Amino acid sequence: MRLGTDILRGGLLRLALILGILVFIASGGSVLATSFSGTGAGTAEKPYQIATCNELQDIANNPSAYYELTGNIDCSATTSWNSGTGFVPITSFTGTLDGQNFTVSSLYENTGSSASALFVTTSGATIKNIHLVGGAYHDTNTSYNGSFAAYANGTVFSNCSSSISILSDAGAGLVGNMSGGSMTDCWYGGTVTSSSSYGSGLVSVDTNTVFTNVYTTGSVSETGPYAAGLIGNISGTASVTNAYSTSHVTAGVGYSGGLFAIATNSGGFQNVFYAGQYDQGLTTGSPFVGTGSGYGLLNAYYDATLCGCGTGGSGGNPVNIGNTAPNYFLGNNTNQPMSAWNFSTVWQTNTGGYPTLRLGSLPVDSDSDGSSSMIENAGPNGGDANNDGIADSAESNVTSVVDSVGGKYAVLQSNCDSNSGVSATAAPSGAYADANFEYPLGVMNFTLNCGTPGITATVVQYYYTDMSPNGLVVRKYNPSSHSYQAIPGAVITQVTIGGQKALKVVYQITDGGPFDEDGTANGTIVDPSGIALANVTAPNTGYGVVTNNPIRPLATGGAIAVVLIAAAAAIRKRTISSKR
Amino acid sequence: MTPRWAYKYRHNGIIRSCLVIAGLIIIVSLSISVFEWVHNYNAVHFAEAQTSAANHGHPSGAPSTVKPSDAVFNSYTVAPSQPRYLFINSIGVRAMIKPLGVTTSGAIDTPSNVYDVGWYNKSSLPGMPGAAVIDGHVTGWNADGVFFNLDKLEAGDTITVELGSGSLLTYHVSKSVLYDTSNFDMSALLSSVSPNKPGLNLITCAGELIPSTGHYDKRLVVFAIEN
Repeated sequence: MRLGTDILRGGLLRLALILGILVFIASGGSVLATSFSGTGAGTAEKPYQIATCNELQDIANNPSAYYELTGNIDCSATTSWNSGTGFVPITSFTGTLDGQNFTVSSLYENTGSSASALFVTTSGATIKNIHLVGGAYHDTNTSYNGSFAAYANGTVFSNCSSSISILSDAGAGLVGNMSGGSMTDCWYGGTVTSSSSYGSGLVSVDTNTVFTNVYTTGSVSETGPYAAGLIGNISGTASVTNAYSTSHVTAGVGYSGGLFAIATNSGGFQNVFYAGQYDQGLTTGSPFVGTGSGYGLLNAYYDATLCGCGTGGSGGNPVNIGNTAPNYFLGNNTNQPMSAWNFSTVWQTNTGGYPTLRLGSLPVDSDSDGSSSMIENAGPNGGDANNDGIADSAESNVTSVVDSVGGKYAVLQSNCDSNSGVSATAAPSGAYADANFEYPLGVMNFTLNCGTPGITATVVQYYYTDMSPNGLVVRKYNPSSHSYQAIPGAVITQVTIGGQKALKVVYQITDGGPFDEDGTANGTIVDPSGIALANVTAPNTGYGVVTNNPIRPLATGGAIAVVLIAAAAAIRKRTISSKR
Repeated sequence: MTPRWAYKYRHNGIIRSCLVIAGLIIIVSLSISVFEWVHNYNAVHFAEAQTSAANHGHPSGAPSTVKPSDAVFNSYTVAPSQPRYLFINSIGVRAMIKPLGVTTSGAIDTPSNVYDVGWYNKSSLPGMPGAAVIDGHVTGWNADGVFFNLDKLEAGDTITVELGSGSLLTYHVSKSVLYDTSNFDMSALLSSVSPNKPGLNLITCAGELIPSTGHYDKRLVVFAIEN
């Protein structure tokens, strides 16, 4: 009896062991901890402490607890997690995540037909003081996707941002489908490429949410309906106060808008502007609201020349019609609507640039070069991406940004006083594409504030990539004429900085010269440019038959044979003589 | 001491070996010659067949070598903004300009007649910012092409493009550059040599024939600037 019990116990242990191994294999080999693996108690007083990307993933084990980041987290290893599918979106989150103004960089997900997001669903959650820098989400999920959440119900977002590159069937910069709750001091600065519907810079679909101090940069491209720089469809009691977008919106079909594709929200829009390029495509839309009714507008404007879309459509007041006031928004706080905005605590002017939001207590941009210190400090080589021994966040003429094509860093260095308006975005597509070239790293847009009219500035760019410089050229894009031109004398080399490979581009450009976008010697150089790879090859315009002389081999062989025969004859003669 | 009969047999062996080797060499040489002759025959026959097909209006891998009649030349029309004729008096070029795209392999297409030139339709229109790219044959399989003497052009020579509207655009040659095909600068070909002025870039083949392909190993580009 005792023997039988032991055998039974041993069998059960073996069975448990086998089941454990099977579960491990089924989980893709990743370790599924049963509780949070780091320190802390998960309470409001003593939150769980997240110091690594693995611990970020561990939120899944207790999604209702309190969490906080203890430092910047590098998630670049997620590209190889779970057989290449990356970070696993946390199914449901009802707790609190406080990033304490730290970053999560290079987060990667490739979720197939499932949602891509940090959290698939948040309910009654709080997500604050957290910034997702670089990285990429890929999915074919036709429902909702977003950097932070696919669905957010009654969730409070504050002081949050993302520059994750999103390639999705229905992608949004921050949240896919949001209901209730609030979003304050949040922004998105990456690239959304969507191929189903609701490709949007901030939120795809929203109802009843209070948005305050939000903005988007980068670009949104949607082949289906409802593309928008901010929110695809906003309804219910939702309101948007103090918001803007400089995103390049490329719309597909159906309705679209530079800011909102569909708006029926009773909360309306107040202190809002759009200053991006709006390619309407085949859609019905406008640079402000594509279609809608019942929404209120107060101090809502858009740049009618910059958007390239005229003055049609609904919502918002156009300024700079016919490029009559190109500097209307730039460095200004007295023109309407800025005259009615709060430039003491909410907005700030920028020399030669658009007004931007102060966004709470976040140290946005310590060197005033247009790229936040948070992004620059999270860059390669410990925040010194150009390897000059000085942190990029402390140099106004060195600007590191996250390229919105692949989510990697790109750096602009100049010998001018400062840089501004720096972004690395996808090259124009469709009718405005460079017919004979591809731009695998996108184009870098920038303004050099040199001060001295007519100066010749040296431009140095770093693109963090493993690409070889072979076959690459540097070309300038002219957004006004949508034309392209090779930049003479530009040199591309491969360098290694901080253990990472990068392409270094060096060229010179003269203020007011042919490659200065503004065309005048005014101390300011505007020069979008990019690394290009030709997609056509040279023509073949010559034909000829190469023939060989057929007699030559026979003549050569015959000569050798004659020599051999002569040798044989000589030997025979000598043999006969010796016999005699 | 080696016996005499041993020498005899050794010499007979050497003689036989020499004769056998000589015979083998003759057989091998003859074989190679026959192979070369067949190869030459096939290559020439292939080229003639391709050219003949092209001359009879059938698509082939070769351009036609039938010179267009004056009637065909004079009645040629294109859209008003597109290039119609190319004239380079210094090397005797007088050619119709055919709009061309790219081949299935991604190369800029070439004219179907050695006496025509082609305007790459993704390059700039003549007179517009950027560079208009025009290609022409240096040779067909068995005839010289319209750009056979392109290498004779010198800086300052005049090139004239007539548009479909009848407008004449004149250019002057800036420089000529010979590129290895394996290291060709597409960006240069597709850009005006003077960023401030419309450019016209003419391209043809040059260098040595590559036996395995029957094509040339270099490309000659003449860069010109609108006056």
